[in-house]
Amino acid sequence: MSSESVIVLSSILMAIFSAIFNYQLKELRKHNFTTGSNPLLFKMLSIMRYMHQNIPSSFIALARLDSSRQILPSQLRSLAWKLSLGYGLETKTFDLPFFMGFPDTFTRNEQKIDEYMFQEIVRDLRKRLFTTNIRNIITLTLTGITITPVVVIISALFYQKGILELLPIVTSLFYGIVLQLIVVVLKRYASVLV
Amino acid sequence: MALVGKAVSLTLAFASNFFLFLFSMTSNFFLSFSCSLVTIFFVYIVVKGCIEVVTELTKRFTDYEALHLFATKSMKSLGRQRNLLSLLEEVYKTPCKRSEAQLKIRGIVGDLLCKKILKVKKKNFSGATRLSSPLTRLVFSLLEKLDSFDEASLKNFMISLHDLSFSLYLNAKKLRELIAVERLKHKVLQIASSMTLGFVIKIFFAFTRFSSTNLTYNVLTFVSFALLSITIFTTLTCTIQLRHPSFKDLVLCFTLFVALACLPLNG
Repeated sequence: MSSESVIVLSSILMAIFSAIFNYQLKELRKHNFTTGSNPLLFKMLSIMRYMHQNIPSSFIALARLDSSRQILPSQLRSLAWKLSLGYGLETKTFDLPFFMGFPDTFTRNEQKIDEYMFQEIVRDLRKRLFTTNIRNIITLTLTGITITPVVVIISALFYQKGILELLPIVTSLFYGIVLQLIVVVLKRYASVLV
Repeated sequence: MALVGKAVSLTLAFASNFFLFLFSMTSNFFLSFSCSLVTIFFVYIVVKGCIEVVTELTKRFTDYEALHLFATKSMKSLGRQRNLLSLLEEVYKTPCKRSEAQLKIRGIVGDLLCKKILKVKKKNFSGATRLSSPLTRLVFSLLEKLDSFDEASLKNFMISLHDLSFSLYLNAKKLRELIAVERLKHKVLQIASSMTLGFVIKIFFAFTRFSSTNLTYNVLTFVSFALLSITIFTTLTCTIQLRHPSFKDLVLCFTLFVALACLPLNG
């Protein structure tokens, strides 16, 4: 392959990596940086349930909010509306990642919710063990990213021409890896944000 | 506007490095220039996206902290003030930092006081349409409806709010600690990588001086390649630390790189 075609190929690769990254960022923002089931969301639902028992007026007020103001996500509005009317809830109507992992038949049965919250705590503990491994992987990747150009340059000392032609491809791959690393870390941050 | 300017200038720095790198590899000016133009467009979108994400996440942290402050203050006041009006007055008079979320809460409380005392409705405050997390949006909308609560349910509401805001505050604190660790790690990696690259270029340059073959052309390529690697790493990984990418880091890394590459071997 000539050096011109390698240069064009690396530019195309950079464009593809940028487009993929942009799409992933858009998806993250579309779901409000909320990925999977989050213990805080369950806490919020539990508090809403508690508030419903003590202050039904708050949900009536919520349900009457003007939809044009877009203050509340539609799923939460629907939840508030159902609670205000005293309906039992089914998660089938809540298809956002927001409510992912919630029991299929969500009723106002305290025991069920407490059991579910306990399961969430156990899952959180397991996740923490996993998180340590993720951190190690990220450190290793970062170190790898730092060392790659050094290895390429040292190799180039011995096999100049061959390596030199591959440098644009190495650059575009390096760019792609850094972008994917950012997405991985942002997803980690998102798991503790509500 | 300042953020767009920052994205443009960083993209230009990126593109000029990229152009230098391509031009050192091929003498085809048109090809190098057109490839750099395409890269400018895509890198600009990426850097702008990173800046927007960092801004949004930072605002969310401020929201959590403001909510926690409001809930704590309300809980303290609730012990002294028995009715809603005096409670709101005390919360409204609390000095607050000029953060957007705190001003918004103050605006909500001020609006309620106006409605209760003057019986007039103020115009919506400007922060009402600002993007925020679903949870804080829910809480803000509940705060806006404070006047529909009766005195008895107010206490329950405040206790729930305090409980929620405390969890949020702890979460935000945990995340800040996580980011501080990542920041330290990246800072060390950035500096170490630019110093290592500078040192390798220096060795390479010394090698070309003493070797019989003429490698000066290759040295230029490797220098531009190293500069491009440093730019990619320094510009983009700022997002991981939830910081806007800045020229300061870039200049620091470039200076370290040039210092190590150009200093003579014998000191």
